[in-house]
Amino acid sequence: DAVVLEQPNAFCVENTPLVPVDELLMPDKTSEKLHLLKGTSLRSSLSHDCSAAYLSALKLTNGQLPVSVASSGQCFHGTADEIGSNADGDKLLKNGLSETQLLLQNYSPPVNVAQVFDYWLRSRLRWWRQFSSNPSKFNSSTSSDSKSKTSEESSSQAAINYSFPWGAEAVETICNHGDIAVRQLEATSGVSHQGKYHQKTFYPHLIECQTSIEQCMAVFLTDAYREHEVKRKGATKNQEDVRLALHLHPLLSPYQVTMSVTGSRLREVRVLAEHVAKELRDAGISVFTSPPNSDSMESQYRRNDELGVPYTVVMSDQTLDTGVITVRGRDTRLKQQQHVSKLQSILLQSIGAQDLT
Amino acid sequence: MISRPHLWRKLSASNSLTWCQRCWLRSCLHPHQQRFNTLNIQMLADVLHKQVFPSQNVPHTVHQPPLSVSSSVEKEDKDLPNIQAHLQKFDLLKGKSQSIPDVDLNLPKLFGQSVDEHFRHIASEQIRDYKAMAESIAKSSPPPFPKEWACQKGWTKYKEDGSSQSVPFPDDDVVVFDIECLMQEGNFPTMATALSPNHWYSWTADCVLQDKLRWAAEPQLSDLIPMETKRNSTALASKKRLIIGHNVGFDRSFVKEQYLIQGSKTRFLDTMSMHIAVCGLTSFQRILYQSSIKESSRKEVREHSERQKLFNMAASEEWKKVSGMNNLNAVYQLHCKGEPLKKETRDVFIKGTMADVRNDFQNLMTYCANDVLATHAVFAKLWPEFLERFPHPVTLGGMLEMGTAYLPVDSRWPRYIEQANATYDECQRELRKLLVSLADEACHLVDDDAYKDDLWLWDLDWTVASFKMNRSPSSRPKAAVSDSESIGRANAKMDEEENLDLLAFLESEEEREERRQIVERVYATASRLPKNPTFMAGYPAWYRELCPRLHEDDWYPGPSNISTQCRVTPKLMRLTWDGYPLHFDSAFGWGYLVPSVQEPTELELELDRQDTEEEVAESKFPVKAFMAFMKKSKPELFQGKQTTGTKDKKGSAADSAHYLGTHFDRQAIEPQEAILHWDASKPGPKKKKSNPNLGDGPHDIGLPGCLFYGIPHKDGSKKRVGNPLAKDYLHRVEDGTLRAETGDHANRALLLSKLCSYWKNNQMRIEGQMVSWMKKAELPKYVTKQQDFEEYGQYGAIVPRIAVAGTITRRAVEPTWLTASNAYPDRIGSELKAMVHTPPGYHFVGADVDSQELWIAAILGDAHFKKIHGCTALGWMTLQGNKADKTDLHSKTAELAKVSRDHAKVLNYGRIYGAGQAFAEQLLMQFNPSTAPHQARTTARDMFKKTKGERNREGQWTGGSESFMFNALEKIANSEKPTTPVLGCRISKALEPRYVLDDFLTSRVNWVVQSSAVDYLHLMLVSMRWLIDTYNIQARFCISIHDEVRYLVTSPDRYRTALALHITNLLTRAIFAERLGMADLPQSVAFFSAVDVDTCLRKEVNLDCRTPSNPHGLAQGYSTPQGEALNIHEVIKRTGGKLTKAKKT
Repeated sequence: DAVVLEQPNAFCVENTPLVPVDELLMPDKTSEKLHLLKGTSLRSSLSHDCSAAYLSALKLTNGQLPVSVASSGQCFHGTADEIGSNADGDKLLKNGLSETQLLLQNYSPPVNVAQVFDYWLRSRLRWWRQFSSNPSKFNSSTSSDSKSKTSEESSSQAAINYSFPWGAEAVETICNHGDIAVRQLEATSGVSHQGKYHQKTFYPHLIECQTSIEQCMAVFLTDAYREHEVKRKGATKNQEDVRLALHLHPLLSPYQVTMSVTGSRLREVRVLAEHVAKELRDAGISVFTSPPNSDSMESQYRRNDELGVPYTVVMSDQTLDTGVITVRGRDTRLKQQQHVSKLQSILLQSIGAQDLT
Repeated sequence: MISRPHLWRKLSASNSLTWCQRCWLRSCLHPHQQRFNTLNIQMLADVLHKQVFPSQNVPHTVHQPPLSVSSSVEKEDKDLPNIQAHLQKFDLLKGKSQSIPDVDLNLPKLFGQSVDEHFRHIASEQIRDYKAMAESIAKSSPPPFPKEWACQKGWTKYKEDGSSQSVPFPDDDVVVFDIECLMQEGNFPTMATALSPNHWYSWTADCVLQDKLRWAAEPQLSDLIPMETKRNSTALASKKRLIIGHNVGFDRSFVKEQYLIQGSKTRFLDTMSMHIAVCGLTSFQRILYQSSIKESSRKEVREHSERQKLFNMAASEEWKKVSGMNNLNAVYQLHCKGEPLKKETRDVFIKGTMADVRNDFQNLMTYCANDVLATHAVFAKLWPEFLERFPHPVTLGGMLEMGTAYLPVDSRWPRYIEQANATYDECQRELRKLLVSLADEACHLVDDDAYKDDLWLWDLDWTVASFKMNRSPSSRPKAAVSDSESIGRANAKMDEEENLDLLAFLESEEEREERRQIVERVYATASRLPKNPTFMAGYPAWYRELCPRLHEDDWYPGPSNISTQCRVTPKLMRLTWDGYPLHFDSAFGWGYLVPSVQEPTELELELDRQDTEEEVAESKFPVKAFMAFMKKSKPELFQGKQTTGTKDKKGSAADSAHYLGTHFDRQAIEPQEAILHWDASKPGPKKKKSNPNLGDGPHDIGLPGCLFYGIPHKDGSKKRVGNPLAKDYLHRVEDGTLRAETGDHANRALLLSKLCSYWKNNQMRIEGQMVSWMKKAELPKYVTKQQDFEEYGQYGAIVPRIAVAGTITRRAVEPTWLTASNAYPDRIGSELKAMVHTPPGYHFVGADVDSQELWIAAILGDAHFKKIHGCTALGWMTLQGNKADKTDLHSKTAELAKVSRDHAKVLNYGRIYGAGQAFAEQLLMQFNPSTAPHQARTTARDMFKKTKGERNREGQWTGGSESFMFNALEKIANSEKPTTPVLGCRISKALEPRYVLDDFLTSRVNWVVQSSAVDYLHLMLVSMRWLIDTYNIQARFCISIHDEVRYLVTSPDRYRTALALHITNLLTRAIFAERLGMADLPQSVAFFSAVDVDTCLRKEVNLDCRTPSNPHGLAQGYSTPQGEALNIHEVIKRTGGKLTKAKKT
């Protein structure tokens, strides 16, 4: 099943948003907590647990703001009734019982909160767009909820929306809770929750970014899916061929490289391919070694395109003699000749560079 | 029941009634005594009229004609049919005459017997002290330079006895002033000198004396130059001061007190503005002037005079002797006949470091003082001349007031810049991504050579290089192995990880050995790699060009060098112009391909031939695909051809050229006036221009079945277009002329480049704005105690570097704010103006003068004709026309020229500013690219005939709706001493007929209206200053952008300021009418349609200014609330019609 095959990319999604973002803002401390499903009560959000970790995180920074707390875990929403009522399907992606939530809480001093909020919204939006082949489909929208009417700036919410073929849907929410959240925490615990910044103490403002792995999956799969119509010459004029491709970002695709072998000295070529594949794996590139089959190269390319594998490395008899391999690109469908000894550095650079778009 | 005006019209149309009878009738019909003039235009209410035109013996009841004008009554009666005939000719006079509620308001008592006297009085009061100061320094002779400049922090005063003394600021009232700042240091002043009538002063920045670590990129108040306060103090003295400088707006932005919200009484007088007003050059003249200096002028002068003879036109070169460029050096040489100033020293400030300044301190200070000396000399010369040419005190008063512009900003400002930059980067990134994917997709065409059938891509270089290896060395392979590092590495790795290798369990020893051998052998071939291996082997050449080489610094995989600058990009985007595919020709630049005209049968023959002869055809152009594409995109072409084609083979080429919308025949040239000079002043490039082959087409460029037409260049048809994605063509995307034929990607890319273009062009200027942030202690208590004051917020200001009279029309010039764009949803960063935000406890109060220049032009025409408001068609349309009836000017023109109302606006203003018919033609074709040139010509001619009219033998314009207006303008423009009708300001010497004879008439006609508009502005500023001072309103002038003024006001005083603005408009309009001999004013123009009370600068108070960089709008994104727009009635309701401060209850 395609989705199962794609599952590894959830790994990328889960790690990249949280870890680098924390390092950026708060190089000193990050507390990452993984929550296990707790007995009887099913939680609907990670928010509470994260808030509980705020104080300990603050201690680690010696009371200095800003502090961030990040977490991921399974969450369950709604009762069976609610899900039933939601069955009309206006939220196509949210019909599941549980989702794997990703949550980041940022506690920042109340200086220029609007800018900090902007910053999060912008950097989250950029994160989504970075992996997308249609960045313009990601948009942000803000809404101030009804309760914010009373305290103008203290609470505002923004969503990052993706325009799915069936309409726009929120894929991540970024919420500025103001300092109310922390004040409430203090009220319940009785311990001071104030943080320091430039020698002054404040109630920090809480900004929460929340999304889920399932949503990421849906978005990036939809985003990458592309149909190309190909006119075939020689065939009858009207016959058009539809080729499917997943234009996944190299960091999201399950495999970055597929090794294919061809030629008459198949056994020797394969031995070589196995060796090269192992080397690539050692270098941190995920490689799918095509099992021996009788498919034509063309149909193998096509399958790889459908899998979203960015590069197909082909080895043949010629490789055995000259060391020349071809690297076939998914997006250009062109084959580039290269020497086998350069393969690793080229792939590493190509894949690595796209990280820092 | 018949409505009253209707009844009146019915009665009056009969023409059987006398004027008196009609007046009586009207007064009966309008029991509220609304006053109407003979043309049924509502005039000022009686109560206001009495106050505004006190000397006019206004009748109490309208039906008693005033005695003083009884003679004119007869005249009016006699003229009336005349006027009516004129108006009826243009289908006017029949609209509903709406009456608007009268305004009952007690104005402040005016001084003197007329509005003019009043303005003279208040302006003289305002400028009296400053004028005296200017007088005293103009007459003074400067003391000699001090022997040595003191190298100490802050200001030093040099006394007559040679001693010097450290002072907090220059203690004379008036100084000539100049600052220098080191470019490298950014917006931090380095040194300054000042000259009072008796003393020299010098100022040295702290950082010249000691290295200081700077934390902020923006200067703080303490880094700036104090002119009236002590160090670390912001207590302003109430003393008036005058600072004179050349382009003093720049120097002013380094003066500490100018950043204080309270506003100081110091005024700035700019010698550059004075020079421009007295004898400045138009931009066109400036170019002529410079080219005449650069080129060896003898030949050029000779040619020019030859041309003048040829055209039998009176012109003169004298203007070049009485005028000059605007920089201090040129101005000094012109007015003082001085030696050129030594400007080499200046390089230290441009390129040097602080150390250079320290080393050369005495010299640099002297250089700075020399500039001051020159400025003083220029001022002494210009001052009497300025007063003579601009005798009305309002002019000086207005200019001084303009020089106090002030833009408060807060934390929104840095946030805005950050947002705009981030959005811009984001868009650029996305744009690149899109272009890369377009390039990638184009690669698919390599399959089966499909590119050969692609209309855009067929002529790219598709050659593919193959990967080459060196010959295998015949020597022992073992040697190669030891050479190769990678082999060593491979072996090592294999040995090392052998045990962990899953494969190891499955394969035998032999197999493992075999594997090792294979790998070794293959890797050994690395030695055969050439030094520079073929780059991107397997990819077409054009694609490889877009890919950076691996070793380049900003390497990024794929064709990442692609940008909208690339020649290949428009092709990849598959752009079309008006439905025709774009093509690049090395001789003609970018253009598009249009099927050439052929008999249908012939076409088919051609197609058939192409079918069979495709392989042998000399040209690779895919004619077949082209025809197929054209059939799809322009089916009408092929239908049309059948009818035209059969008629006349020879004629059909021309016919269909029209039909195809080929509007690119030789376009009518610029107005003759200009061309004359261009040809004269540019003998060099002339030849090149006249090359007949470089027109717009059609050209046969050797592609079968089609002709090439160039894309029209904005500077005229003769230029070749280098990049259709450049800024000037992006608006073509908007109207759909330029389109991407295939794919959302390409259209999105077009959109993105449009989004980016504004920020790309303005980023530097906007980021370069000098903001000075104030500490809490530097803000007035009033601000810091406001509820919405944020302890950790940022509060600061920008002092815009305005040249108060930067053009010969005396309009103010400043590159960022006065030309700032309004907010558009497709312009990153265009929310600029809305980012200027009031500090807590303040409001902006301001207004746009409703169709200011149109009204000025119209009233000049009215005065010229019969001295009745609305007696010319233009006047009537301006006052009485409305959109709903389509009787306003723009709707009328829209109807005439068959364009949209907005386009008609452009046409109208162009015409009123003196642009000719040729210009209108060009505009028409730009608005609708499918207009044929002859059609545009007819329309333009028609429009001109009906508006401007035609010249009769006496050189007067006749027959058009605007003929009277143009006659009035030309009468002024052609008079011996052109002066503005209201304030009597003389035109720049460079345009005076005695120096230019008949030359530059367009500029002079234009000057009449524009310069009067400046008079209008000055009158408003003076009137506002008077009301602010008289009624103790806490307000200061903020900025004026063209016909718009803004004041920064403490919130409690905002409605009083709004009332003051409304009254100011009334008085200003009144003085115009009075000076033009029409002591009355139509009610519709008496007050602003709305005064905006707002907290930021924006076009309308309710705009949210959503742009790509402000996606959430002002209200949500920046929590800027909506403002109020108040008409006079609403203001009266809020203030009770009183300017005095309401007593607290």
